[in-house]
Amino acid sequence: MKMKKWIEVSLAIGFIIGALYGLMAAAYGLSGLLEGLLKDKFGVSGGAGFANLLVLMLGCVMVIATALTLAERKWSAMMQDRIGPNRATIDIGPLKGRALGGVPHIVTDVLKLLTKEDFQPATASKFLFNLGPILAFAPVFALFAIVPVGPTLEVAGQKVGLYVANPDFGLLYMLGIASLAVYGTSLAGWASNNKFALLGGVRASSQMISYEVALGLSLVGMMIAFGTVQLAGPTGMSEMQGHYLWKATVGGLDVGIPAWGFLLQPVGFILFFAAAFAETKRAPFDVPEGESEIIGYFVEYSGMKFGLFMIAEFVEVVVLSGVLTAIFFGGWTLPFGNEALASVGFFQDHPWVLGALFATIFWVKVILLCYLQLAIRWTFPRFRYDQIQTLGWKILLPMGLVNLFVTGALILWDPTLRSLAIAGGLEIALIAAVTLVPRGGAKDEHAEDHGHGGHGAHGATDAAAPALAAHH
Amino acid sequence: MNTPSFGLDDFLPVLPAAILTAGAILLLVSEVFLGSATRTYQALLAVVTSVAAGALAFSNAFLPAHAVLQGYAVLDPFSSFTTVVVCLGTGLGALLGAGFLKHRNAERGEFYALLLFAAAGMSLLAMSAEFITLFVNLEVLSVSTYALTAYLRRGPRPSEAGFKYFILGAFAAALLLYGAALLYGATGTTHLSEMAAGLGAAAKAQPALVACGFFLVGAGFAFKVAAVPFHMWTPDVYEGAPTPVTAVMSAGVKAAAFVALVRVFLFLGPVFDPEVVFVIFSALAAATMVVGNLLAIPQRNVKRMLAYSSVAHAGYLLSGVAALFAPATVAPKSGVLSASATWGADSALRGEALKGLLFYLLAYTVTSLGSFGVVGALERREDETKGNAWDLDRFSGLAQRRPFQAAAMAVFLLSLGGIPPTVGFMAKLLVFRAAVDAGLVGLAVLGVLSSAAGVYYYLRVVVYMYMRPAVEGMQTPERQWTTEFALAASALAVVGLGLLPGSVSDWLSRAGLIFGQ
Amino acid sequence: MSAELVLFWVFAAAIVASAGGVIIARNAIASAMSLVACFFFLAGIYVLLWAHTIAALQVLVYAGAIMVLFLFVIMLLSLTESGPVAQLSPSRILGAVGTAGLLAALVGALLRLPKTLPTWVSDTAQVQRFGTIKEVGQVMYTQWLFPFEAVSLLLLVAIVGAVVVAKPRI
Repeated sequence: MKMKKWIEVSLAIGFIIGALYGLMAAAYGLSGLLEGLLKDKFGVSGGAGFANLLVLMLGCVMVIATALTLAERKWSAMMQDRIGPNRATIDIGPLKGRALGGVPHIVTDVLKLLTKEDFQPATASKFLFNLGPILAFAPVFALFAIVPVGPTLEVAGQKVGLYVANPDFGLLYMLGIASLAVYGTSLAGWASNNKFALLGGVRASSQMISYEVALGLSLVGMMIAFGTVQLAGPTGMSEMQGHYLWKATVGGLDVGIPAWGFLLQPVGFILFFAAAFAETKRAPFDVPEGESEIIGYFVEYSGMKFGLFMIAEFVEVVVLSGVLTAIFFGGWTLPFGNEALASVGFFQDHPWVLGALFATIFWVKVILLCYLQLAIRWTFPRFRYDQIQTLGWKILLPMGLVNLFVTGALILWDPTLRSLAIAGGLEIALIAAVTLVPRGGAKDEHAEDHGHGGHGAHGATDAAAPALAAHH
Repeated sequence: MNTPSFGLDDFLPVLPAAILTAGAILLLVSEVFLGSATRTYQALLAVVTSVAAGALAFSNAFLPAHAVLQGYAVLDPFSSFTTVVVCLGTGLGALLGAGFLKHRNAERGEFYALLLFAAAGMSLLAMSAEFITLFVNLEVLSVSTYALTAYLRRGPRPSEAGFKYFILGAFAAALLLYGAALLYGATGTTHLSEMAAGLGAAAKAQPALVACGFFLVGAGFAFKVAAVPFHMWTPDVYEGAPTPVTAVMSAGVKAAAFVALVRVFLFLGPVFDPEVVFVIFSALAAATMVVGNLLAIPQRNVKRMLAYSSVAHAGYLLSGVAALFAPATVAPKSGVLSASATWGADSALRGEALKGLLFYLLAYTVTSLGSFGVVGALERREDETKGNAWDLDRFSGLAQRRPFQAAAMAVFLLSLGGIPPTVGFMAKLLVFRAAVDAGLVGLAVLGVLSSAAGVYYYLRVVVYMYMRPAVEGMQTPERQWTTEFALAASALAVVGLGLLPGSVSDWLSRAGLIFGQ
Repeated sequence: MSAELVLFWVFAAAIVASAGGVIIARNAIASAMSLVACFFFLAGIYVLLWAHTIAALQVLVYAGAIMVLFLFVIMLLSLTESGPVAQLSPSRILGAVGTAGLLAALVGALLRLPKTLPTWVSDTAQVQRFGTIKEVGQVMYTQWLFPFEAVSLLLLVAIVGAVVVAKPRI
């Protein structure tokens, strides 16, 4: 019985990875073809970007986000030792009576949302009420445009990369667009003409203001380290992280310490993760929603409009994972053996095979980070309103400034980034020590703040998040 | 990469502003760490800072004029002396503020810090030689004064004053910026010297664009110096602001704005069309002198009266500015608008006019700070919301109750009226002489006549102080040594400079060495 | 008509419309949202002028941060739609005449701009380069160092001033 379960799970994981690999190979192929077609017929470039828009954003991001609606319930059930959703079944042939891991629930949820009455309060401000869900979803979705999923390759005679766009102000685009998402929430809260919804909207905008500064500031260290604000491209942050700081070759396999972001900038990573997490409005930063207090800014929404808010949240989780992967976890690169893989003759003849492999690695990292986010969401209690403000303004912001100063000084002193990595290692050790050494008599509020910060780093190193729950 | 290289020389002119900023930051930090009950040390710290900055600026004033910091600022005696005047005003303002705030239990480091920030902005504004720098520094000083105006939010008046000042000030800044943008569009540069070089051609190619730019920049400055018809905000703001802040606003802000105005128009005016510039400034001067004085006459509220009087003084200063652009060769009687005249004063005349302007600014700073200081020393916090805190009646019989303050006030008022032997007389003499030398006899006569009208309302206060019996039950707040010290110093300066203007006016003769002329 | 020109007219018309919306809307939230839209279209104009970085910063700073603050404050104040009704008074008429005069003067001046393009437009490489983040940063931190530092002083003053004004009791 145990064995059978293992086989099932392995098969499922294998299927997912295989499907991702196929999708990525298709992405390369489609990009190359479309780029070539547009260049030949109309003389314009941008076909690759359009193909990636279809495959990566509408395909991967949306599918993973949709799957997360189920995964959240399933994983939270796992953490709480429950079974989770398993009632919806497909009564066709051999599938009859099988829960299929709850997958049919995705279909039933969508059907439910689509067929529900689209209710609108009589006193709501019509235009803004309808605008709210759109403004909540669109910016979050658009964020993924600059995230590079795979390396830039020659496919069908065209140089294509797995990203939608690569503007020279890369991360500024991300920060700019991310800051717009709150309009949806605020407007939804305000336009509903409901006191609780309004409270949710006000809470969302104040939370947003508190975290936006730390969000931008935490990335500046990485920008200095790699001298760029771009994510994609040969000099973009993603690809630069593939380079080794210290390298050795063991039997043809290159090993070493890569310049991954969270090794160079552990504090920056924690700050960014905390601030970005706050922007996703999920627990422990879910005061705009606060279902036990005010229900939330979407209290008056029903049907697919509510669904849009819902899916926007999950899309945000996926996009945040993608951004984290690209900035702090080496993008599509492996921690070792990149060069050994690239030197294999078969891969040199068929670069898209290797490219799709790398792109799959990227998505695996994304899914792992999604799991981390869900783990955090189901582990921590909600912050109080003032604690959120304190964390944003009095802890994250000063820490960001100090981190920026230290990073700048270290890079000025040693442009090879090695001393930065050593400092980063020390920081990780310090954070781990602070997190793991039990403390007595610390004030509650303090403990929570630190618990959160320490948690991010800890989860980054070995994803032992639930262990921390014992602190609370 | 073209990394700029800065020498020590580049930082010399901005050092006074740096000292002021450092002092302000020290004051802010002191508020965090030293929470003692008495905060007189803060005022003294502010005074020491402004004295240090002023001394440094004074030594700068004897260096030759040259551009520094990549041409964004200039170091010339004109700006250095302005910094000295500003520092003098700030130091006196801080002393006056100490007593004023102590009486209201509102002494905080932030007040002095904002005062010093404003002074730093004024100092930087005086030396800006580029439009964006100029605008930013103008905003530094404006934002500090907006906050200072609303510093004491008791009753509706300060809030109203702060809000009015903020809205109108922002409007004026927007006008200035829009004008500067149009001029940039016409010439392709924001540096005043390069703009002056390119403006001649631009004015021929696109006269309407340049004219609009000029008009808007001029309107923006006119707002800041409170010239008629852009003076509407002055009485309300001056009345609502805490009295020491009013004093600093009437002296320092005006001085810095005037200096920036003179610099911009000295660069650009002659290239554009000196005739138009001259006519505009003459008209502004005439209107401001007349309207300011006429509106001051019916005021029974002394603070408001002084506010209108400050408008009138802006008019006298503007006649000095007009002298800068006066036609050089003109027979006194032939009318100023004769076509044969060559426009723009020659350098000797311009030196006279600039010296007159600076001396007037110095004189007005000590006099205005003194007079507002006495007003502030007499106002009780209980009366603030009643609206009669500054009524003439409060001054009746002051000579018996507070002989020193009455005497000082009398000296200040005489100086404001331009009566010898005070510094106000010398200042008016210098400005009007420059105007007459430039051929602006009509403007000078108008100035003398309107200041004669001004004597009426200044002397009315003196009459109340010395010849009316005190009103029963009229109380005055207890005396503060800081206030008394500031008043004594101002009074001494008013009389001393009036009697012996020699060395100061010799120093100020260097003001003619303005950069780029 | 090139695509750029079409986009320009789209953005320009949208800017005017949304700017009008800021003034005309009776509802403060609608006003604020019009301003957000206005900033957005302005960013579009910046892009057309090859100033991408400025466009991104415009969205990031104005639309993203400052207007969120506006929205937050408006929601906190919970303004109603019944504001004071504008009445005609001499000063208002004077103001309207002055504004109309200024508008006429500006329109007149701008209509008379030369139809020939400035010389620097022909330097395509320069035009494409100058809006990049690298170029903007270099110009800002080398050529414009003094104004940049002055701005930092201005921001410090603004923060201190805001705290002083907002302090509950002095």
